[in-house]
Amino acid sequence: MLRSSYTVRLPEFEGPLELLLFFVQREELPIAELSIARLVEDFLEYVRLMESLDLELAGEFFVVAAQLMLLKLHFLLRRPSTEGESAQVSELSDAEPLLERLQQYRRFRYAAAFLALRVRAQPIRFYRRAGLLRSTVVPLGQGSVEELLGALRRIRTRMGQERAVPLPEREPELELTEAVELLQQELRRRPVLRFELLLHGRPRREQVGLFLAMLELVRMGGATVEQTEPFAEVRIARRAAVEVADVPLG
Amino acid sequence: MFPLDEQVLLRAVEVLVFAAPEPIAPAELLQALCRALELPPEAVNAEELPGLIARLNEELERSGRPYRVVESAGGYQFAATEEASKWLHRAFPERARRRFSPAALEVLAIVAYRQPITRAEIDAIRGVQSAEVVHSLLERGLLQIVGTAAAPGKPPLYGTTPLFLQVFGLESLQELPPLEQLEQESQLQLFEPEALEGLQQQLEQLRRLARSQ
Repeated sequence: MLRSSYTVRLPEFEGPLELLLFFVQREELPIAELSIARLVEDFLEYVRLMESLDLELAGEFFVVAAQLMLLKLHFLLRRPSTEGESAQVSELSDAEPLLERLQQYRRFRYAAAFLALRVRAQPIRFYRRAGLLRSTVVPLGQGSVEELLGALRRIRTRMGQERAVPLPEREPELELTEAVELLQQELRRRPVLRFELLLHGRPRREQVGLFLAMLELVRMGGATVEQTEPFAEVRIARRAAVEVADVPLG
Repeated sequence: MFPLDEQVLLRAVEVLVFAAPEPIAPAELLQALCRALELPPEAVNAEELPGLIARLNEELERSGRPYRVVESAGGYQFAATEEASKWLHRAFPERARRRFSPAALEVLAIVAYRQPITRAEIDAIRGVQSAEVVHSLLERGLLQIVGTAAAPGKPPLYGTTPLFLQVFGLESLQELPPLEQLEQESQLQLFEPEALEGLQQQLEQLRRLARSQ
């Protein structure tokens, strides 16, 4: 615990590749001449630091950390048989996919830096954007998705912050417990149900609820599910489990 | 040249550019011009267009108008003169803001070079989720959906917009330098020197903090 008021600014990295790039950049060496082992150590140290301080890290960091640990393992296993130059070479060939990704990411970082430079060099100039054409109503069915999105964007801009776009009314939700109940009721009436028939005519939210209820019921041991092949009909069968045991078969 | 009244030609060009919701490409403008004046197609030569635009701009300048027809993002459109743009900038500073986060620039760079591209592909290159950044760039009109990929779920494919070209002062995507050449440009930096140092110091602080626990 920290008692004194002491502020620490956390280094902010967009993702694992940016962190790796930072370590590479710090060395001021071309990627081919890097010590991969050193890079791996630096990265893992950072992840450990953040963990030991209970600081949140995005999942992507752990994915790369796992890849790096695997890489490290390879080095360790290989080291005794090779030495000097050849060790460097084997290090590189193991690390190739990751280094390639890093190299690719680095190129786009340069491209981003190029764009940043361009935008700063542009004199601020105002262009006329609203035209007279295409301002007529687009008949329904002809508007592309982009046009509709564009229209929505314009409406939202025009309405400003104070008036939000009204949300469409939500369909009532089917609570999971209610859905399980419903499914059990149906199963009491008939021991085997065709899932599609059960969904028929119900609003989407209820369908989703029933699907989740089906999974839940299987998990609880109250039913079994059968589907002979992908996209084929789904059949739910009652199982004599706790919840349905006391119901007379009919 | 046809015995066409230049005044009529100029006025027609002017209103066509005025009416276009986006920069109007020279070829499109020529066709529209012929239709507008009921001329046979290709009655006006493509080479004549720059001259017409130049004369139109001379007129605008002579009469002291604060705007011109400019060629940008692959087409003609009206733009405020530099001086008038300064007034607009002062009057509406928020409309001239062109700040881009590092993440937004990364996504724009990736899409610019690799379009059409799916979000999953952008994520893979950056090693991090880009959904929010992509969404905000769509909102700002710098990216657009250009189709759908033939992959499961039919994910949308993204591309850059004419506005993107305009904001970054490019005539076309061909003006982007080859990706492999960019690292040789000495004025381009992956991290600003101060940022590099700042990050280094912050890492040191983290280490100290971890040790003191």
